Amino acid sequence: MRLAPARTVLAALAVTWGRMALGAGDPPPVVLDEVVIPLPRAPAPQDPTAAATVVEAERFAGELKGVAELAATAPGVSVRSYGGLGQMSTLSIRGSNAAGVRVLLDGIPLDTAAGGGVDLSTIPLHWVDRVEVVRGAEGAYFGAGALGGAVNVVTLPAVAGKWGAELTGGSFGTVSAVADAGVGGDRWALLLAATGSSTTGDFPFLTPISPSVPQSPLVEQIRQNDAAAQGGLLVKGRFTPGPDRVDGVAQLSWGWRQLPGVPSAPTPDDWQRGGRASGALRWSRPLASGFTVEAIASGRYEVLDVYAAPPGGGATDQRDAAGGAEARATWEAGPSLLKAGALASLERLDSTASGDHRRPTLAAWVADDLTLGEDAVRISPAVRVDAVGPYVGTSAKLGGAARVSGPWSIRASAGRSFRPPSFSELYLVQGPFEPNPDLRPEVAWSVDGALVYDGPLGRASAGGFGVLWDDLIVYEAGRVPGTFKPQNTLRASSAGLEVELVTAAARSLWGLQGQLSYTFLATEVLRGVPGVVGNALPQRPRNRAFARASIDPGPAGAHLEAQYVGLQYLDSRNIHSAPASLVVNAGAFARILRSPEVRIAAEVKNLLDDRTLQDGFGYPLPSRTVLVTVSVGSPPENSP
Amino acid sequence: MSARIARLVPVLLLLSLLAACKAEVVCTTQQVTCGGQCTSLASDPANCGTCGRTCAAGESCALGLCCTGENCFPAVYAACFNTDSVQGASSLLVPVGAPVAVDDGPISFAWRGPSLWVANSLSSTLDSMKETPVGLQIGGTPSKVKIDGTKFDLEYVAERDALLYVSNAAVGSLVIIDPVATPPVLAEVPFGGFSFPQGIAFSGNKAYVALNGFGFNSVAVVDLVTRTLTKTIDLSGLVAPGANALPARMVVYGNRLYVTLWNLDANYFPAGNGLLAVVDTSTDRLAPAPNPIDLGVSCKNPGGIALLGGTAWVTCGFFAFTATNPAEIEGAAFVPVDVSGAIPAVGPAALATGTAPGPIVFCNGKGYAGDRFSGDVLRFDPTTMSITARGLVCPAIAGMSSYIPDLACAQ
Repeated sequence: MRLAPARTVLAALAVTWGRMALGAGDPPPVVLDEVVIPLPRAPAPQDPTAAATVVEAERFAGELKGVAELAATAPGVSVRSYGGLGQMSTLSIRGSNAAGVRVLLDGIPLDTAAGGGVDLSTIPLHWVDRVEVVRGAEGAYFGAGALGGAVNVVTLPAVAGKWGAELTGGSFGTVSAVADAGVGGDRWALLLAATGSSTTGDFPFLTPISPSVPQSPLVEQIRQNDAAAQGGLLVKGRFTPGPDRVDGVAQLSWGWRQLPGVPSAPTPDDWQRGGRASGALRWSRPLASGFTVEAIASGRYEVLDVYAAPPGGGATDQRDAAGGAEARATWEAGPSLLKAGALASLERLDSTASGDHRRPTLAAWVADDLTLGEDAVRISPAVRVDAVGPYVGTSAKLGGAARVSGPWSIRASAGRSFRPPSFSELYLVQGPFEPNPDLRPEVAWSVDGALVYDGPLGRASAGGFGVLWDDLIVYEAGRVPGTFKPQNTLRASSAGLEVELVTAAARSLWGLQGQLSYTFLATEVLRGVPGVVGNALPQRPRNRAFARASIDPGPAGAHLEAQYVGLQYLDSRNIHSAPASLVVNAGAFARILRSPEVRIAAEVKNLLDDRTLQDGFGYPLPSRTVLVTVSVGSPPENSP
Repeated sequence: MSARIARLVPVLLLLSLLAACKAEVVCTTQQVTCGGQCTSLASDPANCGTCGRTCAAGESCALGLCCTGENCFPAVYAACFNTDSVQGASSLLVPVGAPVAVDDGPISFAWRGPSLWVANSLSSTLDSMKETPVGLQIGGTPSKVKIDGTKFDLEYVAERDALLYVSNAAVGSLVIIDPVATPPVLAEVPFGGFSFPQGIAFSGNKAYVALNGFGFNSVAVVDLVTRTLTKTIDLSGLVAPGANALPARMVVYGNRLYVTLWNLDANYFPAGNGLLAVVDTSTDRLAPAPNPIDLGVSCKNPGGIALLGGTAWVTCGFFAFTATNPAEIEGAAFVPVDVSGAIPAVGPAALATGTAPGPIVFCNGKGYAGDRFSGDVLRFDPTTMSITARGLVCPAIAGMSSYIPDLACAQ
């Protein structure tokens, strides 16, 4: 790391797609022998001066946390969940829509042209090595669509000789299993991982007898038609014949889930199923001192079938295929680390709802990472041009960081991104929904700045941000009465504070570690239909906090964490609101054997057994859930 | 400035203030001063709407607008769904007064004493308005009632014995409200998710609620004393196999409940002519044949019903979601059904080509119907069976549509 490296606690090897090269003396750009600490880290590899948090899945071992739950431990992130395990969940960053967050799996974009954001529950739990959350208008680094930010999910690394297996069982018929093994030699490594999980989802919850009546008595119900199952296969490898390096990854996942509906309007027969096959192959070679080239080919195929039972229901089938090629070059010269690249891709989406459409994407970008004054100052400008079908736009970002004194530094950035309209917005004809082929791209402008501490006491940052969202697409009244048509009517702003603190300063006290993240988010509609101007955007909680404390004195450990989500409006008029919620989780583990390492862990989610929890759309969330995990695997590299 | 002048300044200021106080004219809250005189901008022909605006000879000033004759007073109020407002219109269908801003998606009216309540579909609220010398205004205590929930879709409001009954389609229930109680929402009668309750009618101690959801196709009977669902009357057998009855609006005459049936297929296209189901309110069973009443080939997708004497007038008109031209509207008509006799008799339809009349009210013998396609209000003469006036009351926002889901007579 170039700027104020975090302390090394545990060393491991990680291979990251989409990562840029580092400085001289490092291995070739795609081979990053990096330090990994069991605490959130920054900066993100892609954007060196961004507001970013890297969430290591290892810290949450045995807790059966999905990508959305891991990302929600970072500031600026708000999870929109539609139920419990296996049910849809999407992310909002700094007040964005779900569609305004770019999500990548090992660098492969998962956003489809269908729009609506990426369902993070489709990424198998056990694949995740870490989640990189980058906040701000990040189109210059992540491409069109990154209005609020980007999330890069990095899967397990291929490490020869490393293996593991894990079995989890618990409440509401929840079962989960994973097995992975790495093989290899000096010049190659291969990882094979298989995962599977299922749940009946039949948790108890409390719901008002009369939802329209204030203070209505509550009645307990059992969630019905809420089962989910998922499986996945991950193959990942690297090969280094001489100066070249070849990396490959193939991911196959398949899932099925029932769609329960809200308590007042249950859908006992609805379900959906889908799968994704994706892969990427990358070759890189250092051509001269400081100059490296890369070539990447990637593809993705997705299937999604949704069934809504009659009367009034129907089936929607969707097939999405995307593929592309990308070339990158990295040149380090003096204080400059210059990167440039270009890509071409094609996506085809065939849906019974919006028809069969294709859209090519061409993009080119250049980014620099200037380090001045012996790492005292860092400046990172980037610009990218995307041509997504007929929509051509420029994204730009300028970031900077400067060491102030000792462990203290400041960072700031400003950026612009755009999001082209989705195929659903352009072409969907379903019931009262009209298409609008005349839509313009959405645009976001963001600024942020923070004071950062990275020293012996841990890592902390506190900063503010502001985002202007323009031409946001919302469904308004259509040309024909009773119909709705997407329009670029909305302009809104977000502003807030992000505070993040991780510390292991008191490790001598049984390995005590602490983490805290807090987000204050104020949104305002600046332009829209009468009656909503000046209001806050719905489903954006104003306050959100996450706190966690853990101890790891040796053969056993424990943790306690709390997630607070403040009041949020449910409608654009700001008349109705969902109350604040507090979820407390706790867990413990014991290491039974060191070689092979055998651990048993227990996790209690929703420890206080709040049965009135629900998301911002009225979907109940699980009551107290107990999970027990037994894992066996190769010993940690630093074990005696 | 000398010290003497300096001492005089405060004295002069005080004198000037006293002079100003002496000249001040104190007016009532409904008045302003124009040329030093108190006047009402709402009704003063010499200062109509603003000081100095003089109405022409023969014109009056009403609600701040110069007008003549019938155009001076609202005869009917329209719910302008897409502009979130309520607009008064004269009997000549000229807008009278400024639109009253209400919450999201005004969809249905009910008078409760001097208060006109409007149910706002998309915000799940009700706003109260009062007629004042300066026009319809938000008012009353309280002036707003909120219905809790996480999803929002009110469809209809009706008044009975000072209580408001609201069809809450988001939940599938009938919500009972006493606006002056604390809290105002008293009770809720559930019908089931996706039951999509629509119109409400009363008979004795019973409320009838049309359950319009696919798969329901029935009328719910609610006991107003116990506030419980006592029965559902299945209407699905009144339409052809594969069709959906889709009951919508209702009136009660004598011991008969008349229910409009959209009669649409699974794709929301007409499965046949518009129909009128008949329920015997003494037994809460379907009345004997003829049942349903066929409203004829001129009537598709019946959207409204109102009584004038012993005649139930049904409005009809169907257009697809893809329609862009009024010429694509089919089955548009006013259909009279004589319900005064033992056997209902359908009279000849008055065609309403190029419109899609929906909500219908009779005010002082004149019929008014909201056009679901244009935002116009139609005035209908039941004697001559003709549309005698048409006016744009709910203008559309540019690029969007306009929709009038309900009308209410002015008091």
